[in-house]
Amino acid sequence: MTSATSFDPSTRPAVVTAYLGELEARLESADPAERSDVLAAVREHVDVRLGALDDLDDGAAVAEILDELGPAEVVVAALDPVRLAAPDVPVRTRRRRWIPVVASLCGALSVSMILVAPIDVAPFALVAFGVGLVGTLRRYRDHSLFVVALVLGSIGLFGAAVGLSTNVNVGDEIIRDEVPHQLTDP
Amino acid sequence: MLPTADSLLTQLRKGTLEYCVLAYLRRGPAYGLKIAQDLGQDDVLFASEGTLYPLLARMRKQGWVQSGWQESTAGPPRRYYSLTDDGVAALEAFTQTWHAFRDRVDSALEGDS
Repeated sequence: MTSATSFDPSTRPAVVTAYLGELEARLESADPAERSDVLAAVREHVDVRLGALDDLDDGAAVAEILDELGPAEVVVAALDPVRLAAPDVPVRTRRRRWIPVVASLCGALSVSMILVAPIDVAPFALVAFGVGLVGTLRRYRDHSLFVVALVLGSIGLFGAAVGLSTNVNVGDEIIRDEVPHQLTDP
Repeated sequence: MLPTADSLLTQLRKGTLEYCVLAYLRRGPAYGLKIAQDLGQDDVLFASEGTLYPLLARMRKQGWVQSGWQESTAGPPRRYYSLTDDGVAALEAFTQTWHAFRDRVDSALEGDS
């Protein structure tokens, strides 16, 4: 059974190609390294078995190989017996946990900038901080709210930076203007 | 509802099957198809050969097995799996626990306790 000759994957029967395609699709949400491992191993398994066949057009023999492998959904379920035991269990989507945290930090930073920035940025900063904080504490799953907070916080920070820069430049000019007067003024 | 043999086996396989694979690899490196055919020949440990590969992928991620390509005397190179030191340690830990668990279950089933 395992004394296979080298097998050209491009000659796989259509039913095998379809099986591997379904397996790949069902592994979409799996860990990339595990997905890659499983796909490579199953392809190798199938190719060794196909290589041992005398006739690739022998539908019954090809069907037996796939039957012994098991349905693609059963193979995928074995990747995580707890989470994927039942095929109907919804697959957890990847959550970007950093977004609420960054949004809150951005808001907090922009609020602190109110002290040195023009008052114009205060509404942006306060809204960003409020949305980020409430969303984080209440664990909102919808990240669109946090993205809004991130944008507002960024506007606040940008405004604060511009304001701070303007103040420093103005301050420099005042100092430069004042120094000669102090030197020449008796 | 009464459990079926299949549903009971499905439950029992969880948490034990990977250690059966580790125990199999203790005798030496082996490629996937060989492991699947040897361990799955009576349909008790594996309901289907394909379920071996997710198991191997998970154990590789855990660092319990490693894989490498080896030339085959018949056919293309094959990916051979072998135990790592962590895999050996995991198998030893399971074996000790399993013996105590199995003895206790046997006692309970036979009405000795």
